[in-house]
Amino acid sequence: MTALHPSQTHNGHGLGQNSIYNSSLLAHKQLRTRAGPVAFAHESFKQLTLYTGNTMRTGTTGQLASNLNKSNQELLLALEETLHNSLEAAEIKDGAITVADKSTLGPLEGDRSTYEITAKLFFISSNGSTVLSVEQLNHALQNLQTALGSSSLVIDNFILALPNQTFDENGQDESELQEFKDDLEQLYWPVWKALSDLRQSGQIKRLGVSEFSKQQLEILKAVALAKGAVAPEVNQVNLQDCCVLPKGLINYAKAEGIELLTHGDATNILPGATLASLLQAHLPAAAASPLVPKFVLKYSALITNRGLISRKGYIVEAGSV
Amino acid sequence: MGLLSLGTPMPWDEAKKYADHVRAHGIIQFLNLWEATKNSQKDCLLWGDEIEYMVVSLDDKNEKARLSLRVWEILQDLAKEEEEAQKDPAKKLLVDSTWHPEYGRYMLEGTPGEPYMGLPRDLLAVERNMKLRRELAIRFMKPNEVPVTLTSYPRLGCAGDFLEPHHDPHGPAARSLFVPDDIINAHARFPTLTANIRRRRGSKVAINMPIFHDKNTPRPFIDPTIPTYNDYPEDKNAIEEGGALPDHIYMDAMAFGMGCCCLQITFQACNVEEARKIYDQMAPLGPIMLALTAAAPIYRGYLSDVDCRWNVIAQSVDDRTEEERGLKPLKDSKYRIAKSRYDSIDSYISNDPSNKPEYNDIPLVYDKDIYKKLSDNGIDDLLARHISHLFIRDPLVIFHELLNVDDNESTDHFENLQSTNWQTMRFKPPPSKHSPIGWRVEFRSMEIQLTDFENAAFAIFIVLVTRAVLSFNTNFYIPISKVDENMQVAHHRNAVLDKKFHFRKQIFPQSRPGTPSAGTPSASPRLANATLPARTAAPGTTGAAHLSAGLDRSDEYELMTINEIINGDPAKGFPGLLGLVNNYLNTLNIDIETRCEISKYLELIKKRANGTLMTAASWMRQFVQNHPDYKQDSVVSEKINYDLVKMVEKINKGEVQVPELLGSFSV
Repeated sequence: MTALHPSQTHNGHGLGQNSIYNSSLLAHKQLRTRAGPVAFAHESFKQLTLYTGNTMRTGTTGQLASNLNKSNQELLLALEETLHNSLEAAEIKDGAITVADKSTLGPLEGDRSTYEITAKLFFISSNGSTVLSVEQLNHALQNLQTALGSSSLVIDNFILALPNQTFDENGQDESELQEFKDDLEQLYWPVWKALSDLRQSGQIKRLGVSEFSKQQLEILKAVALAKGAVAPEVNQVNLQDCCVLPKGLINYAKAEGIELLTHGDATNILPGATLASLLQAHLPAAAASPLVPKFVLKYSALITNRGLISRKGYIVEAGSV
Repeated sequence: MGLLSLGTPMPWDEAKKYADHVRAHGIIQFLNLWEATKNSQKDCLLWGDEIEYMVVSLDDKNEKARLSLRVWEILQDLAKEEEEAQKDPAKKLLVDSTWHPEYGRYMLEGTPGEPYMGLPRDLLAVERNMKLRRELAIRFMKPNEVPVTLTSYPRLGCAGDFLEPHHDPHGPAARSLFVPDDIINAHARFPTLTANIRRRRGSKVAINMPIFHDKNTPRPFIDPTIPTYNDYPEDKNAIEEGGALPDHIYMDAMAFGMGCCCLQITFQACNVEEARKIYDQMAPLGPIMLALTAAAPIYRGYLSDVDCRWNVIAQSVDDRTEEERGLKPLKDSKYRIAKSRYDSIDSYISNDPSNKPEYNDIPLVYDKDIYKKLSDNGIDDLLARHISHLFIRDPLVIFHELLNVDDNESTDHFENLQSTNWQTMRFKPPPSKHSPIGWRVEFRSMEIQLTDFENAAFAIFIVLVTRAVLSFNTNFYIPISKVDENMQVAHHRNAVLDKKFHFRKQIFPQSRPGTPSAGTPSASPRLANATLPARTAAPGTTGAAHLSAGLDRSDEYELMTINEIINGDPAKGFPGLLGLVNNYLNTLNIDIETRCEISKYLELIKKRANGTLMTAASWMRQFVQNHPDYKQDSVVSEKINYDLVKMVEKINKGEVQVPELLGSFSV
């Protein structure tokens, strides 16, 4: 447990309820220390890419101490396990390291048409507002193709999670909404436009956002239409609030054909300090030199007609500032 | 229940001569079906529930509730309705159900018109359809008749009148001291089944459930209401021959068991292997769900010390001869048989590598010749053992007209045995070679709940568990003898809160050595043959041979409360069945309305398991014990029975709140 000492969390987002420390799930688990350091333990890297295993089959998802609260337990457990199991086989090239649980990556079994593939991209901003990078989006999409062993991947549902976006059931006042609109147009637009293009070309079948209020959905729609892009078709809301969701949002979603889906993901799914403490036991140099998380991509493949989840995993990319 | 063919049934003396004929052709029929369907692939989960109702006739003037024997008429009306719905698409939606007769002439069985699909949104159709069924049934009833979903009818078999219209007990088929043959479904199959069980057994069935000793219950309790007759040789069974045990509620007819109602769920698997996997994985959950759905605390007018029906039914159709039961040395019978043909399963059947031979630790009695026939025709060991185990039983009802059928097309003889092995799980081949339906598994242990909301909750929970099982590739295996122990424990009064059950600790596959384990780290299994109980191999069993090479698996499971099994134990990293289901649901794209609705059902399961809410059994006990008419003597009077039925009716209509049973959920 020492590798994850709370004092290391000084990041502004804190760990709060998403903390790995007070998680009853992790309490009983010994965070294992490596038998011996890997050969490259003391190298530092300018980029880290991590593909977790299939969390449905590693026991990671199944054993979560499930509740309806937002959480990042699944991601943290999956990362820990992947670092533990797959670090030795990491690929290092030009200062970039890729750690992948190869045993569970690759093409889906059987007929692709029976699957529904969902991807949710969390942009992580470590120091306030930043422009969402189309380059990161493209990385994420390429990585997903790698994970699912397909060079012509069609994604059935793609959800964009903006940094620090939290559903506000009371709605926002005018200045907050104006700020949101400014961010949207200045910081988020290139990525939304790129996703919109993919939606229009059919590589994404349904495009959505997460934790938007009714007003924010209206703003995104207005901006998108003005700029010739698509409006969101899905909005994810955490279940904790769902049964008392504002009527306004429900009616708006109905009228606009936006599906309101549930999710349980933490607002800040991977704070920098959390990544650093996870890396500490495995790549101490990389943990010490700030490798900042850039994005987390969560994906799943469902065999729709049988209600079976065939694959679920995360892809994390971190880089030097 | 089972197959309902029309024809002239043979009495036992005649039927037994054809037992081998039915078995031999039954196996040929199974093999033909197997050849045609063994590679069948279905790409959809389809599933359905079965709800059984008792129709009660309320006599408000005299404050009496009696079971209505008019159900045959109601069924005819329902059948007409179904038929018309087939022709009229507008009506189809309004009917959307299928109705079947059941053992009791007061019973109805309703199933959804079309199977449900596997998407979360489809789950919301379940309660709606159950409500529709109840409303539809009510439409064809008299104003004073009401369908109730009670597992056991409290005053079935009591002195006085409990049937509408009244009939005196003691007919030639059941020869019961308590119930008339008129209580049995008039279809030839049912009286014959009743009589042939008695004849094959060589005596009436004898069901004894321990009495609940209240303050004023005599000790020992010797039931003063058991009547005496002198018509049939069996009339001596109860008292002179000691069939009625002291301190027990004695019952002597199939109707006491098969007249119970239950909630059964059937799933279509994508192929035979998946069906076998679901069968095995769900089997250890049988007793857990029995205890959690417990709803049968009252028998023949007395509070009992058990909460569930299962053993009552097991004893009510126990057709084993004295030799088979081990009371006499084997002479005319072929085997000693440990259980009734209505009981928990005796073997796991999946070829999944997680199914270790040591888990099948009950010496399995099976028909060697049938095993060989199956084996010679390419059926693997586990499945051949399963089928040849089912085939140790005799066919009880054989129809003259159906003795010789085309084994290429018919499955009648196979089904004759398959559908009269009433076990906790049923592994079901496609109905025929040409059927669009695939391999199926039926989950059979649950008791029926008082309201559609609760029945929907348990049905949905079970189907979600199967999805989680397959998605997480769980491993619930424990030695099957431990499942049997659980089965007995499940019956105890308030077992849901007071008892512990064997359950597997590590339920996820440990694919790699480095994978962290949830729960107590399990030590490597050690060789410990000595700890296995010594077994005497009866003829036709494999016991010791199968076990001798095995590993001791006792560190793989431990005793847990139902609360731990359902709601998990965070300290041990054990997610519980509900945790599994939630973790499964959290990965799906579910719209908010659906998720909120499903959450209500799961909340009920959670609260029943942790004791926040009572089981129907506990609630009924409390109702009886708080009733002004109750004299602390275990007796459930006609008035209490009437008020209980009225109360259940009011709950269903939403006219009364019972937060101790249902919390704030609306039915």
